[in-house]
Amino acid sequence: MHELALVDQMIRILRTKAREHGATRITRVRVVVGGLSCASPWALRFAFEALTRPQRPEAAGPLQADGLLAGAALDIVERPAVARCPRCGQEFPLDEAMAACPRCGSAGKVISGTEVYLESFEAEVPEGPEGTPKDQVEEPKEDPACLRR
Amino acid sequence: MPATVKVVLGKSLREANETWAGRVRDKLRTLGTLAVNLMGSPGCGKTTLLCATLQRLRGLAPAMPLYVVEGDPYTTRDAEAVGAQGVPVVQINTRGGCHLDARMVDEALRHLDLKPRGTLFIENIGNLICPGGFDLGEDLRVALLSAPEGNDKPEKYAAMFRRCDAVVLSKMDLCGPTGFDPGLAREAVRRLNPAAAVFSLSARDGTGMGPWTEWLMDRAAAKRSTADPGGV
Ligand SMILES: Nc1nc2c(ncn2[C@@H]2O[C@H](COP(=O)(O)OP(=O)(O)OP(=O)(O)O)[C@@H](O)[C@H]2O)c(=O)[nH]1
Ligand SMILES: [Mg+2]
Ligand SMILES: [Zn+2]
Repeated sequence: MHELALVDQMIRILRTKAREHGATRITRVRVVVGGLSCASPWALRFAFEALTRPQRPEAAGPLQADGLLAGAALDIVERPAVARCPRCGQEFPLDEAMAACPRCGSAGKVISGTEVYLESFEAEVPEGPEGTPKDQVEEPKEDPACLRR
Repeated sequence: MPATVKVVLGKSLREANETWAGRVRDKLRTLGTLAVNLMGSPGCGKTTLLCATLQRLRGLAPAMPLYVVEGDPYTTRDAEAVGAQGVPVVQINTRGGCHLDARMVDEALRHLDLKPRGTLFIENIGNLICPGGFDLGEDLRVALLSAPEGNDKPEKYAAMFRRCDAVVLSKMDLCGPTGFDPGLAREAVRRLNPAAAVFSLSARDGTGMGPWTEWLMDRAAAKRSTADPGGV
C-alpha cells in the first residue's frame, strides 16, 4: 500500500503550491509513473480518490475538509522504462523480461522508468488587479527520473 | 470569474524519502560504514543468511563494527535472533506497512552507537515489490531468491532484480526437492541485470557462504576509505 504514501506526498505538494499560486480549487492533476517505479497506476488512482473525495461530508479528514481537491481529475501518464545499450548507444523500451539491445544484443542499462512525479496541475485562480493570471512553469527538477544508479 | 491556470512542476513524489536517504547516506559516508539493504519475499531466508553472515564476518574481521536494522510488520523475533549473536540491533515495526523508508532508517540509526568503518545490514520487509521503490541511503541493494520460490521470479519481479547490486540464490540445499535450477536463475538475472553479482548458497549448511562474505568484505574495505579522518 505504498501508493497511499505517494499520494499523501502529492497532496501535500499540491496544497503548498496551490497556496503559493493563490489557487482556490484544483481541477486537474497530472502524474507520470515509470514502468519500473513499483507504483501501480490503479492503486494510485484508488488512493487519490480515497484522499480527495469524502464519501460522507462529516467523515472528511483534514486533507479534504476545504474541498481544494474535491472533484479534481487525475491524469496518469504511464511511461515505459527505457534502456541504453552500453556498446552501440541504441536506446530501447524495456519489456518485462528482456534487456537485450535489439541492434547488437548487448545487455542494456536502465536510464529511465523508475520515476513517479507530479508533472503539473490546473487550478482556478481569481483574477487580480493585474488581469488574467498566466500559466506558470516552475523550475522542474533537473532529472525527475531520480535514477541514482 | 476565476481563471484556470496550469502550473508545471516536475516534482518527485519520493522527494521526502530522497531527502532522508541523503541524510543517511551522508552520515554513513562520514563514518566509512557500508550499508547493505537485504530484500526478498517473506521467508526467503534473510534473517538466517544475516545471522550466518554476521558469524563469518566476526571471524574474518573481528575488529569491524557490525550493526543491524531489522524491519518487520510485527514482532521483534528477527531482532532477537540477531541480538543473540551479540550484534547491536534495532527493530522497526511498520505495523502492516509494506516497505521500510529512509526516515525510519534515519530514526533507527539514532538508537545505535555507530562507530566508524563498520558494516550496517538493513533487513527490509519481506516483499519483492514495494521495498525496491524506496532508497534507504544504502550502498548495496541485495535481492534474495530462495529455491522454493521457483526459477521464474527474476522475470516476474523484474523491477527488483533489475535494480540491485547482487542477487543471492538462497536455500540451495533445497534445489533437489523443489526442482530449482540455479543455472537458469543465474541466466535470468544476467539477462535482466548483467552487472549484478550472483551468489548461490545455503545459510543452513554453509555451502557458498565464502564468496558472498568475501564480496561484502571487499565492499566494506572500499567504503572505509571514505571515512572522515577527523571523525575518530
Ligand atoms: N533448508 C533451508 N532452510 C532455510 C535456509 N535459510 C532459511 N531457512 C528457513 O526458512 C524459513 C524462513 O527463514 P528466515 O530467515 O526467517 O526468512 P526471512 O526472509 O528472514 O523471513 P521474514 O523476515 O519473515 O520475511 C525458516 O524456517 C528458516 O529456517 C536454508 O538455507 N536452507
Ligand atoms: Mg527475517
Ligand atoms: Zn547495442
